[in-house]
Amino acid sequence: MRRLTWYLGVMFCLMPTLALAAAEYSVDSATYLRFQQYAAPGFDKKFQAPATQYLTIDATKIGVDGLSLHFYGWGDAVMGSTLPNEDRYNGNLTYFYLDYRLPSNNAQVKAGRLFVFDGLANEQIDGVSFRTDLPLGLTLSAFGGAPSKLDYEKQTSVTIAGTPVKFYESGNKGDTIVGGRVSSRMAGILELGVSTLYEGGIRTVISNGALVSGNEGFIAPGSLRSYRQLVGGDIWLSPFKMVDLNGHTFYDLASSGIAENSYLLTVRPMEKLSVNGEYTDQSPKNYFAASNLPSLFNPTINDKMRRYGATVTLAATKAVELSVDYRRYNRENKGNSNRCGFDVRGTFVENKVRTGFSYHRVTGADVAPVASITPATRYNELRGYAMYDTHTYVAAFDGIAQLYNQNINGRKSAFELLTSLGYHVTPQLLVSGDISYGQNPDYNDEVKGLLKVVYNFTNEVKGAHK
Amino acid sequence: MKFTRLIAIVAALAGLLTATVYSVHAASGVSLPASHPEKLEEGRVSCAECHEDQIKGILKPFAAFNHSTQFILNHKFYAGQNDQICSACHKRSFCNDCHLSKEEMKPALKYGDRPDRMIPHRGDYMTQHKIDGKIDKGSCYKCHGRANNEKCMGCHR
Ligand code: HEC
Ligand code: HEC
Ligand code: HEC
Ligand code: HEC
Ligand code: HEC
Repeated sequence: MRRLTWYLGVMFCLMPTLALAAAEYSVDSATYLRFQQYAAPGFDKKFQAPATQYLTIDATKIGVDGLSLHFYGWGDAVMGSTLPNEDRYNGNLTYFYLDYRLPSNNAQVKAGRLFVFDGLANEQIDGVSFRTDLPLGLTLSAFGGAPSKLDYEKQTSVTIAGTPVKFYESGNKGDTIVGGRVSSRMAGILELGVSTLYEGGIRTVISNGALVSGNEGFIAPGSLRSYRQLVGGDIWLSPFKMVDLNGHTFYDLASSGIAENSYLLTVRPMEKLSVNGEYTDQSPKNYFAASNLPSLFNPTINDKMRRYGATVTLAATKAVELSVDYRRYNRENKGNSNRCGFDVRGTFVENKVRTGFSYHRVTGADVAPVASITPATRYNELRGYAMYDTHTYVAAFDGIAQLYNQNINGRKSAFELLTSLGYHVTPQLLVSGDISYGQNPDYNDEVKGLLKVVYNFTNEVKGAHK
Repeated sequence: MKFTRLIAIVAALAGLLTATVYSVHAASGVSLPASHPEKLEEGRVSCAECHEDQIKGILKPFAAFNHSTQFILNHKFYAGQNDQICSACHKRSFCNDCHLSKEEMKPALKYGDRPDRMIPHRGDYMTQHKIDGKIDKGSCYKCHGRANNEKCMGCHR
């Protein structure tokens, strides 16, 4: 932890200097000061004021055409009381990489700590990634390195029937990762992709044949693997202008089964009307196969999770959008749940005024194996908001409430109301304050405050990075 | 040692392929811009308002990327196939408001002043997560379960 704080400190000082050496750069800084009463279960409420600093730096034109440098990280310090096991100082280097774009074919190489979103990959790695378009409408991409370690790791040790059982949780990642994707495209009609990923060297359960209990039953020793290996296919198909199909299927080779199927069909019979149908299923055995929080995302339970539904969206006018949605959730060993409702959003006065309202009814499955600690899953949810942004002042109001059918901890509802006021001191510098008040089954009166200072500076001539 | 070797192999393969592609296909492919030439406002963007037909760099219609409610809810499909177009407008840190390996602040906390955005975990999420998590546990695994678990471990062990 201390080493990381050090590292971050150095980076925070070094990066601006590096960036200033570049001809074009941008610096985004966001500072948050939170004021809250915080309580962990079983402990008294304590006053806390964590201060968190986020910093993004992007330097383009750093000497070589097409080369750029990107940095993002945060650090924080807690003032007031800390919770048991909570560090007073904390931080994370989220990314820091060099990006080189070749002049054509969308070819690009990145190196450093970076994120890969590609086919089935959704990874933070310390390594390299590469992509290019190939002839005949093909594309190719690849990445490799080490999964960025999380700097926390917990070794849990429990004694069951006199046998000590040890396992690693949460910080647990492998030591190498490689992957890639190949796709084929037909202009305006189809893109088909195949992707794969292998992560090795995952530290897993070390046990002596006993069982470790999780909140959904037992994790059998040996059921967690030391590697992760997946293949997947993805599709985009638009045979007619008004029909789009998006989807993917991921197969887990380590546990030999389909981890996830997820598909979305969109039909636009008229310009203003869009109808969607979606389907997703996941099986814990395969989808959670590489979880490093197995007590919660337990890969050994025999379940199948499905969700499917439809949404109809009508852009009534340019300013008002209405959508009606229905979704059904099905868990083989927990039963069915439904969620349905509607959403209205409005944008007025040249985007200065934005408002919205939504209502949803959720009827959750109440057949659960751990009924005693199961909260009520039948409720109505209401949300409304309005904001006014003059580019000098920003004011926002937000309210959300859940009205439960049954009591949870003696309470039948939860709500939170939030007001935010902001002022642009200069176009680059925003200072804003939020205050929220809420009541819910876990807290009687919850008052939270937040002060935020955002500074976005760029000397780029154009570009629309958000 | 294994790690450096791995990187070397990936880099060598990448180099080889780039060289091949360039010799076969010299500079004919249209690339996406590194950053979108026009500055856009906050809030929902409709590409079709300013563009017609196809994005040459990826051979898909502009309209497919209109930021409608459905696009935002289902952006994973677009990011999975065409992440490069997202980077033309979004710094990676924009995505990291919601996608992180390690984070202290829930995304909704950072954007109290932007209720119009579709940020997850609005309101007090400690109570509500027990219900959402029960109904659709798989959806949480996109962001928790392999990363971003530090806070969860306090109660889920
Ligand atoms: C306010 C108008 C506006 C909006 C909205 C807009 N663009 Fe653009 N875009 C421009 C202008 C102006 C250019 C530069 C001229 C050109 O090349 O068409 C441009 C250029 C581009 C280019 C490079 C040229 C090309 O054809 O490859 C891409 C790619 C692009 N835009 C994608 C998008 C996408 C995707 C969206 C929606 C998420 C979008 N734009 C929304 C105005 C806009
Ligand atoms: C032409 C520019 C442009 C392109 C290309 C683009 N976006 Fe956006 N996107 C925007 C703007 C502008 C916003 C609004 C940001 C705001 O309101 O502060 C936005 C918002 C979003 C949001 C947040 C919406 C919310 O309500 O919180 C997501 C998620 C998102 N984009 C994903 C993507 C993904 C994924 C891609 C690539 C497939 C992509 N975008 C491509 C301009 C673009
Ligand atoms: C406002 C929060 C938010 C922002 C900002 C955001 N995402 Fe997401 N993203 C989500 C949510 C929520 C999901 C889960 C959707 C689901 O369950 O289908 C998701 C899912 C994904 C997935 C699928 C992950 C998986 O494991 O299958 C990818 C890839 C992704 N997002 C990429 C991006 C990219 C790239 C950006 C930036 C351009 C971005 N996201 C910005 C909220 C966000
Ligand atoms: C798009 C990514 C994303 C998805 C999907 C997601 N979360 Fe989160 N969640 C976050 C981030 C980022 C944080 C902030 C980091 C933290 O507190 O650990 C967070 C925080 C939390 C917290 C702590 C809230 C607090 O008040 O501090 C809980 C509880 C939680 N998530 C539960 C869930 C559950 C249950 C699901 C599934 C129904 C889920 N999350 C889905 C990104 C996500
Ligand atoms: C303050 C304690 C606390 C924290 C912190 C916490 N949870 Fe929970 N969580 C609970 C309780 C209590 C339940 C209800 C357990 C039950 O009914 O079986 C629960 C239930 C869940 C469920 C449904 C479990 C099931 O099998 O039905 C999921 C998923 C979940 N939590 C995810 C998370 C994630 C992800 C985080 C961290 C981002 C998190 N939780 C942090 C206390 C907590």
